[in-house]
Amino acid sequence: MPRRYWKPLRVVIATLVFALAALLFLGHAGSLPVASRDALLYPQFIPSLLNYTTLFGLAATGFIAVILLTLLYGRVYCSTLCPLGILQDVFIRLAQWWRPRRVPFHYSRPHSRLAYTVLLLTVLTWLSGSLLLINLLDPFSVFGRLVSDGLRPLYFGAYNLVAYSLAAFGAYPLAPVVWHAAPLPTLLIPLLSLAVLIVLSVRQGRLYCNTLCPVGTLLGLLARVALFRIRIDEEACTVCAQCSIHCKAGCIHLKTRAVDFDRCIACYDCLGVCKGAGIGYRHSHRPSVATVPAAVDSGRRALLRSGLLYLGGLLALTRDVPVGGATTPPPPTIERLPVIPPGAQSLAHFNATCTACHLCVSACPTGVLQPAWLEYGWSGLLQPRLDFAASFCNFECTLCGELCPTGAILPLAKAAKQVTQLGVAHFIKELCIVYTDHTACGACSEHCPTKAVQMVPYRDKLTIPEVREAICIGCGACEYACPVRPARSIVVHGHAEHQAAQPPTTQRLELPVQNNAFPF
Amino acid sequence: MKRRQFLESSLSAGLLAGVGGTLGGYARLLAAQTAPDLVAVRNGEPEVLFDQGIQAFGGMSRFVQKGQTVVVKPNMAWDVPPERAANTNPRLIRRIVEHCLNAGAKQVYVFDYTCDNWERSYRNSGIEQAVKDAGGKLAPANSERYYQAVKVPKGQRLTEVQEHELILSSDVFINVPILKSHSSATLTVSMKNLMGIIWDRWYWHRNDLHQCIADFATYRKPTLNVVDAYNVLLRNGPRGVSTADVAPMKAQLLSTDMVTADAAAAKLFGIEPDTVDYLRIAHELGAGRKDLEKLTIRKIVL
Repeated sequence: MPRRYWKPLRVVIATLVFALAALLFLGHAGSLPVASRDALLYPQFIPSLLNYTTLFGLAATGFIAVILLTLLYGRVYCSTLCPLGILQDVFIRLAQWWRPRRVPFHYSRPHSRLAYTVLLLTVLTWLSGSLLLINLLDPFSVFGRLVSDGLRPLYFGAYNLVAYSLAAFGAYPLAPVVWHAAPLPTLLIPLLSLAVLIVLSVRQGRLYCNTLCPVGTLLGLLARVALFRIRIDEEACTVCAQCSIHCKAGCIHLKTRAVDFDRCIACYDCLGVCKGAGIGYRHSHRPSVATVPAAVDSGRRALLRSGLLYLGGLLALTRDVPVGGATTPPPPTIERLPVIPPGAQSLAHFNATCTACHLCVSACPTGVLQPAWLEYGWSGLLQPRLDFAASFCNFECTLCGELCPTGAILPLAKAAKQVTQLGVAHFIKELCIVYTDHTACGACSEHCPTKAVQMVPYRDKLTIPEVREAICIGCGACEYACPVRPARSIVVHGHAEHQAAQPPTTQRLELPVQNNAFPF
Repeated sequence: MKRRQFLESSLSAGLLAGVGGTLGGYARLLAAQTAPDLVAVRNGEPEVLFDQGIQAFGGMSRFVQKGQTVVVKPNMAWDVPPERAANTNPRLIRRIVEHCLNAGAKQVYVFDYTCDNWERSYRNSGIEQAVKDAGGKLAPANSERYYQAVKVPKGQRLTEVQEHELILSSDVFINVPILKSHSSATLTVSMKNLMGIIWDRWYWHRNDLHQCIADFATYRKPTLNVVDAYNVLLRNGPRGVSTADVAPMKAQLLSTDMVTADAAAAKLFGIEPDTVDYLRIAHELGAGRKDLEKLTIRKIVL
């Protein structure tokens, strides 16, 4: 392929990926074609890797495809498929438009020690059973939270404003989106990510991807041995420096004509600005290129080598010796376990697989899925839980399981979901209105889809709730509907492991005598 | 044509029209005098039941004048299909909207403040499609912004409430509940259906549900109530668990008085009206009449 096509092709694909990812996380996952959302989710590296460890299915081989692609052409993922990488390109473009700089970037020395340390710690904490670092650093999930938690409220705020304005004139073409605000502290982490990303990208290009991103660093290691690498052709190069000053990764060292390919994010901006044929993909075994200076390389290699040793050594240790603050969390000891989504199977499975990308939070039609703060402990920070103060799980809906890219929420057929017991409702009689006020209520039973909460005779013609645990699925409709405040009189206790509920009983109905007369 | 001839003929045409108009007025007055308190129709499809029922009142033009705005309030609170009989029959809603538009309504709005997710409930109840097909408009009710505070002067527990703006701004309000068993209120019909036009239903649950339902009925009186009893959820209401809870009754009740409609509905359901607390209280508060034996009832069996 001629070198001038590389960049436009990258830009076209990246734009599609970005638009699709933004729509998904803005809450349109339910209305997008299934094929398009699958196409976007398939190559997302960490979600796919985690999904593979759960499913071992063909649908979860995306990370292998990315590895193969990287072994061929380097970190194509970072500028074409990674929504967070593309987002940084958007920031860079905006900054350049806002305040144009003749020399936007320049060569920078690698921060290998930092990058490998982050990668190492991420891998180690994962192997020791905590997803905390993965969740904080996985680029797909960071992007997801930025859009889902940060942009989505603004997006729907604007939408609702239009809807309300039109309604003022008696027109109702748009209906407002019901908004359940996420707990405030859960916004801190996306906001922090956003600040770091903006500052780094505007000032230093893709420095984030070459320091803090574990996927970037990992793929960088693979890119070192890629079959085709971007290199400077010393004979064709006129040393115009255009490639170097446009390199967002700062990885083109003009003095030595060396391209630090493990830091190259494959954006092809260099190929676009090169007037001649000075820079481009070359087969790695073709010798007609600049010799890579030893100074750049050996130190990093040594670090890498020692790092791998370090990793190997620690791996043996982590089984019983905790490392730093990232240890296996003890099982939550709180009395009332959080309720995890249908298909999440168990707290152990869910906490070990969910990267808190918040795709399910965006897509959930009722808004019952909300990011947790410390309900799962530190390790499960920001992983979603069912918040029955916000809403309840719709009996007919299976969307979260269909969408989840990591396999944390496994897909469930509707019939299976409707007998999956996430937890069980507990009735606290002393708080119930029927008991305290001696008036009728029954809001809980009203909302119950299986009638696990039924009204039974109480006193003076009144009825009071009773829970039939065997058919309760823990959807939280009763807890949501309960009007008692501040503490509700019926609450769902989550299961550490989901159970099978019995299907609701159906007895034959005694039909009233059907004649055509009226009883009045 | 000569000018005089033209004037004469125009004058007589005008006169005729005038007299005709007056007679029409008398006819309407006559119909109003003989209008029944309750129309009960049985043994037909939902559309036919309504055609017959509204005919007994002298047609929809008795309630809807040309250029008026109408709001039709079904029960579509639940994300379940029509055969589960937890929501008003979509075929009935479609027919009512058509009748309103035929009578010259400028706009017919349909909404409900749902219990399940509102988009799914609107869609899966079949009512969204029915309203679109008939030429009516769906309005949202899922945001507090659409509600305005109103006073309930005769209310005992409920003295103030937030009511949907469309109820306040429309000329005609047609209440179209479905008859169902109800775990909180024993029975849900016309009066209970109005919990879908107010915002804070939790307040009602906390403050003597039956009293609040009756209180609100002293304030808000729909122009017409059409009770859908085509399929009736006899147990596990208001949501129902399966179609095994549903009995076909193929009936419909029409009344301008909610208490009357609900009392008749209770009888149809197989229970005495007095066993439903809010019915008894509403009657005592003068919100309407439950003494069916003293009322004019038109019974139509097809």
